[in-house]
Amino acid sequence: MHIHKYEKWWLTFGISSLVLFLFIVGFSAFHYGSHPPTGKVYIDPERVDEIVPFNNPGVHKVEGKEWDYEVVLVASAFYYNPPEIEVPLGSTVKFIATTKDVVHGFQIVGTNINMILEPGYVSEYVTTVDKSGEFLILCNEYCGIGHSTMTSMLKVVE
Amino acid sequence: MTTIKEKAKEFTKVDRRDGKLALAHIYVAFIALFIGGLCGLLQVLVRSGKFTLPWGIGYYQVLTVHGVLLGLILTTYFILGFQIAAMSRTSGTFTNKQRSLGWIGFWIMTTGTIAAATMVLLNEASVLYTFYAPLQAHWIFYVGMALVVVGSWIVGLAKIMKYREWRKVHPGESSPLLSFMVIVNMAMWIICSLGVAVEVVFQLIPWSLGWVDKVDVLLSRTLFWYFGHPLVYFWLLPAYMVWYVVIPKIIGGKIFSDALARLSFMLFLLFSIPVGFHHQLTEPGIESFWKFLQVVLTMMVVIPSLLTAFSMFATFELRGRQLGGKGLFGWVKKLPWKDARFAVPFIGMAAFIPAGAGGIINASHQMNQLIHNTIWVTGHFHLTVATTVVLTFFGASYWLLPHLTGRVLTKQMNKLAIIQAIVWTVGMSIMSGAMHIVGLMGAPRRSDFSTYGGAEQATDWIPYQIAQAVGGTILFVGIILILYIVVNLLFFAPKGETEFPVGEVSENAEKTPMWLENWKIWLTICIALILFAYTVPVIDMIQNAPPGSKGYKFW
Amino acid sequence: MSKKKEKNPNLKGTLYSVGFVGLFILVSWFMAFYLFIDRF
Repeated sequence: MHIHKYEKWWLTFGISSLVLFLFIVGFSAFHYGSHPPTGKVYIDPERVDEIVPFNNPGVHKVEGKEWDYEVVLVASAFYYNPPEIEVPLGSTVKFIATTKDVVHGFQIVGTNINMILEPGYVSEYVTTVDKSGEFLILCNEYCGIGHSTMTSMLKVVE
Repeated sequence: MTTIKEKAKEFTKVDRRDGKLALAHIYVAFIALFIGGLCGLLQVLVRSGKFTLPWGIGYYQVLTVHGVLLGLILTTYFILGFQIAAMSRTSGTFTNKQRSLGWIGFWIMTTGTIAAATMVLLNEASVLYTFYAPLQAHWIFYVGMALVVVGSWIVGLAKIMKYREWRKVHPGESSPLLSFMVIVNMAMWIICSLGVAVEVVFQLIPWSLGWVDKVDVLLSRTLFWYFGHPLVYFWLLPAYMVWYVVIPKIIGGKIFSDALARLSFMLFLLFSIPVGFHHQLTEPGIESFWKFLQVVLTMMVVIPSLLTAFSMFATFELRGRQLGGKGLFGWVKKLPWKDARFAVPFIGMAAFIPAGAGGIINASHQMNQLIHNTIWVTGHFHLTVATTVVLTFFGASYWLLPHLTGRVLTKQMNKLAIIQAIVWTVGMSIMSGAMHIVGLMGAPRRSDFSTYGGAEQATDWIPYQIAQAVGGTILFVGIILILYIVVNLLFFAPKGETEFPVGEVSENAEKTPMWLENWKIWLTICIALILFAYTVPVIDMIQNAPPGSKGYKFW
Repeated sequence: MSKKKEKNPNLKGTLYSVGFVGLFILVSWFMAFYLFIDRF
């Protein structure tokens, strides 16, 4: 099959760009651990309140781990528990979240923290909070009539 | 203009009986456009914060109607209608048996559509067009959706039978390009819609009827997105058919390369399906490795679009230079900008540049966190489907409808069609532009108006939401205009002959190699890729499944 | 232009056009990437 010279140039340029994008995101994911949020822990969605750590939602200081704080969060229609999160600037925080009923979103506006919470699964994400201020937390997966009122607040304090 | 000056030479005409079947589909498509568009208008108005819905109508009910009618009904019906006409035009009139199958499929789909629509109107199914479990709609809604899919398979079967018949009569020959493309488009649809059919029939229907208590949520979402991404390519390929085959004829040029056109369609078939995880990048329960693997496959599906971009520009440049265009870009001026059949789809092509760029960003693994479920995504697919695809469909309607009804597009209607496209472009630039920006600022998609407890960040979104309302209102004017033109073409335009333009291949192009039409090879690779991308993670999902979820009705 | 069987017709304009498309994709992607890196 004959291909025009310029088309070869174009395909080379285009495919190289795609490879470059893949290399950048792949390298940061598999070398630096910047994976998208995930989770491999499974729980019974109807017994969330009884299961550790979700029997005690809130911000917990931890020692001897790669992160300084664990934020344990339970979502249900149409609110988050805890309703407000406060962590010190510069600390490394692990968000551990699940839902008791339908699928909810967990997005912290103005940050990369954006994950889906699915019944039966625990979603996790670790990050270092390096900007102070108040960040709105909202549900970004349609969950019912009160969806757009489902909010919380992340306060990063000095 | 060329639109009406076409000489009364012998056009190959679509048989009237096939035309009726095609038109039946197209009627439903445009009715869906009107109702769905009206719902879109209501949504942008609500989200501006200046308007509330009357009579207790719910925002999410309106949103469900908008998504189902425009995302599933308008697109599927228009595509099936267009394909029927295209098959009949290039492979010959359907046999009575094939045409009857087409009608059976049409009525099954339409029954399903009405059933599902009724449940949405009764507020029994405000689950949006993705119907994510464990939100649980009325079982009739799911049965309706299943009928739409099954009906479309039957319509597809009629086309496949026609194609096989043609190949039997013409052994050793390449099939007509347009027919070949229809079959690739249909093969993609059948393979991907199997996923959603399994989800609906084996998971959601028994669960909504109460035959089983629980549903596996992650599996249902995975099945949905196995369908959901090829779905967007199912919408896009008919637009590519118009670009590759029809537009060259309209501008008086030739198809740049038959072989490259076929190759790009086959690449779409291979790489548009095993990529559903890029819609699930922020979800638990799927390992990062498998997400990344599907991200790589997603990038592969960009390649046929790169090929297409080159072919389109080359077709235009060759024709423009033939007409005396000089210099680097002199050929651009020589193109028939006053012909709506060219100008309207051209705007669609141009929109695909930012649309494609946005799509690459969306699929870039962890970068998805930046935009996941923000209104940026809504802005993105209003460029892809609601501009690129829809404007190409409108542009195609300007010759397809009069061809089927035995009428002509008048000068005035041609002018109005161009105005329509300009209105659409302005409205969409404002609306989609605002959505992209405010999406990056964090505003979520699929959400009723909210001040988010007076949060400062959310206050910054309001001006953009007002811009969305302005853009959306302009777009609704565009819908009124297109419907006016369509009604004219169906019932009032002067009688006459309109050509169904089908381009010829450039004499410089090389003969198409037969391996491009070897279905055994391509389908085998296609299925192998799907198994490669999905087998391990799906087995993992099923083996390590958490207890299922009961249904909720939270609206 | 109309030479039969001309293998490489003049497609300079096409080359520049697709070049623009490619550049647009690259610039948008790196802008998004910058935003991603900048946020926590």
